[in-house]
Amino acid sequence: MSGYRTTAPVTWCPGCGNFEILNSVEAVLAELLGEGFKRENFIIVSGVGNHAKIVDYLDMNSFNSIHGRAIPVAEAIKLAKRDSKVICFAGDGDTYAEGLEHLIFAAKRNAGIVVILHNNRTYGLATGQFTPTSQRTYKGGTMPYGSPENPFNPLELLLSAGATFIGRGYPVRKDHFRKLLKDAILHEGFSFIDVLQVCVTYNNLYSAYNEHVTEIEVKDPADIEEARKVIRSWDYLSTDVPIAIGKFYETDKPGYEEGFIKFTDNELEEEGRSEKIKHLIRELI
Amino acid sequence: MQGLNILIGGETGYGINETGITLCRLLSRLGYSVYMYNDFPSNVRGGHQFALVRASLEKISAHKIKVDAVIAFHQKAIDLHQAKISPETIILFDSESVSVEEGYLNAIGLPLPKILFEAKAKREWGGFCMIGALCKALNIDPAVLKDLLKDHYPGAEETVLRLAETGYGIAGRLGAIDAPNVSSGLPAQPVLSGSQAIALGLLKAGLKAYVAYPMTPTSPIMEFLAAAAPKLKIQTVPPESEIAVMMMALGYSYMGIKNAVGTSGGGFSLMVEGLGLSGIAELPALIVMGQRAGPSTGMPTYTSQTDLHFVLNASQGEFPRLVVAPGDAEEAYYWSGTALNKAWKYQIPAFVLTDKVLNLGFFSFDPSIVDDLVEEDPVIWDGKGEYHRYKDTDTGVSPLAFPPVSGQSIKTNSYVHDEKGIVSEDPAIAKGNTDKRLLKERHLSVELEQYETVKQYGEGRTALICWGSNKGVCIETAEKFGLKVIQPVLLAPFPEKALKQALQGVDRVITVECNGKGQLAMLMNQHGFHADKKILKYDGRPFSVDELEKEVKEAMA
Repeated sequence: MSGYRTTAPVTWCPGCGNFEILNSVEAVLAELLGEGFKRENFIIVSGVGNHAKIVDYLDMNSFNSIHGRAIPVAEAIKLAKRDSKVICFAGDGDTYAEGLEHLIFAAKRNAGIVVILHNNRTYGLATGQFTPTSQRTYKGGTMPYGSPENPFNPLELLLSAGATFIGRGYPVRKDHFRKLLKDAILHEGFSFIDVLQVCVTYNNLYSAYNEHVTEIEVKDPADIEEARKVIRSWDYLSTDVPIAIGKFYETDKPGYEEGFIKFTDNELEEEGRSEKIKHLIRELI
Repeated sequence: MQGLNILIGGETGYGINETGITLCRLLSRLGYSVYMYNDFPSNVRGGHQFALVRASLEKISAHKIKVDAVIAFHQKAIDLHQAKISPETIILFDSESVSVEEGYLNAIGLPLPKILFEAKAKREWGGFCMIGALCKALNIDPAVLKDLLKDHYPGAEETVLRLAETGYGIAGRLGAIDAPNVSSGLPAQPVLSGSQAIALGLLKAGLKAYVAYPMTPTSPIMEFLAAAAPKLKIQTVPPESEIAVMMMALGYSYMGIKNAVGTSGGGFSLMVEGLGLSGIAELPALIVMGQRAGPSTGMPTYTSQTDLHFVLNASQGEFPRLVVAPGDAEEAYYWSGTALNKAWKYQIPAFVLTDKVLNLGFFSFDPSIVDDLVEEDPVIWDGKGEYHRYKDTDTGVSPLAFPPVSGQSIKTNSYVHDEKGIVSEDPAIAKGNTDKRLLKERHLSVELEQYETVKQYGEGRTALICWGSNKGVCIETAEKFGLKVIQPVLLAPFPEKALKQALQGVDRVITVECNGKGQLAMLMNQHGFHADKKILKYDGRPFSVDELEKEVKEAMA
């Protein structure tokens, strides 16, 4: 798969959960290109954090944005070029904390972007502080006696906000994760995966996840009540209960971009612009 | 008649602005140059709002204190403006809610609620009745008003014409002032707000998308563009916050879609993180920053020039930025478009620094300048070899390519990056990134020497130096005292050469600004220019010609 890599050295910790996300993205891309998708039509966007390094490693169109701000960039890219596939990589500190507003609004609008959220439930690059989804027992440098706050359930928020594809994945379950990833990318509209990405250094949950992660299949992905039930079956508070992974919800709704004019390369249209401007000015006499 | 000053006062939300604009268009069609200042509280309805409409045979963009006529929709329009009126002032008032004391020689009451009820018209349209009455009072041909209302109120013309005719019928000739057609020979000029002029200039320079969160005083830019969007094939986007606004703008820029954002100080505070991204990632950005009275919420509907240094210095790190401050509608049009062109040519953030007076004021606009502004093409990649987004060049400007390009990866980055756009912490690359950005600034600075970046009006050994919307009031005041006016339209990169040239023969400098610290004087000082005297006003209101005349007289003494 080296055809998709840049020469940038990979600087994640050995055993980092991000490796399997990177490998899976490459594998799914290879499949999609084999099915007729064009590589240049993919644009990947990241925030800032360990997740964001993925855009340096992939030899693709990319926009490494700032902390918490991948999503508005991705929304504009999609508005600019409607037939592009825009994939946002985001982190839990990055997008569940700093940039939550953008996530909720992208779901509300059903913006045609894919968000892959690397949820390691800690700040990695900032070296081990609690995030909006850290388990209640988590102790880090800024709260050595434990967190005073409960985590929230981001998937419940997204379901309420209007996301049209919601899933949770665990990349260690490789085949399951890759299928989920491919489904998410193929979905038209706002598509979201909460990825249980393990931070080996600051919040090593491999053994807890290996024991408790449970693949589930909903009967009807368009059934919002069933989705809500599955999503509520795990509240991120603890890690010693069953943790559902899979596609929880998928439905069709008109995309955000449909409410805007579509840009074309029509030069005749451009030439008429000067006259239209003069007309607008004349109307103000 | 050389000029006419009219006060329109009433409750906010009941057509004061619309009455003022209609009056501006009427006077413009008669051959006058017009200007309107609009003063209103931060209320949707209620409270006292007033507009000052001024018409002149000279080009103007400032108001005067004394008025020739008052249109009073409520009592405060007279009671709060005693200093502006005299016994001779023409007063047209709503006779059901306003009482006018004896002693005013030219007052006439119109029973507005009754007239509106009979015409089945909404309260906001009382102004048409008043303007009809004013036509009679000033000996204005009612046919001009009739044509104007027909043009602007298609579908409702029967009602608005009836209101105007009723007003005309009630009023008589009042006082000794005539405002007949001055037939200057020129066609009637359009009347634009500064915001509309900005929007049109951006469109002429190739704007494809406009992104904004609502905020006084720049919201009318969005409203104007949103209404024109289907016709002009542009996208107008109102996201969740100014943070998202700026980030979306940069997403568009990455894709090659020329765009702009608009806000005021509070919103710009949120945009600052995105501004830095524009700087390091070399993504073009155009920010219309309409100043209002701060800090924080301040006085949202009042003006200031307090954010010059905020705009010059916002964001961590060092990167070039273009800052222009237009002074009237024509400059707003021309420099907004030019700033957009340069933002793309140099791949930098560019600011159009305005204020409430310019954004929400209305001005006669000379359409003959429209062809002076053309869209410039940015430097585009020639398609040869492997694409490097940040390729080193002699000018620091790397050729642009936009996705999708077959066989190429187009990478942009908020981190220090190599030529390909991949993160680096290498010291030589880090230094190279900064050098590249500063090199662009030097080239931009040289190119701008071909533009009239420092404007000069009149002659004199004493110069008034002003920026932005103080242009008009300074020119009028300077004419009276025989002074020179120097107006730097470009504020960054600072036009040192042009200012030095403008100051030749000047031995006394008085700066005029709407802030408490003298921010232009501070900036000039950084570049070795000294102000002998600073005239400052920071009560949220712009200088009237009368006020500035008094201040200048004192400063000269």
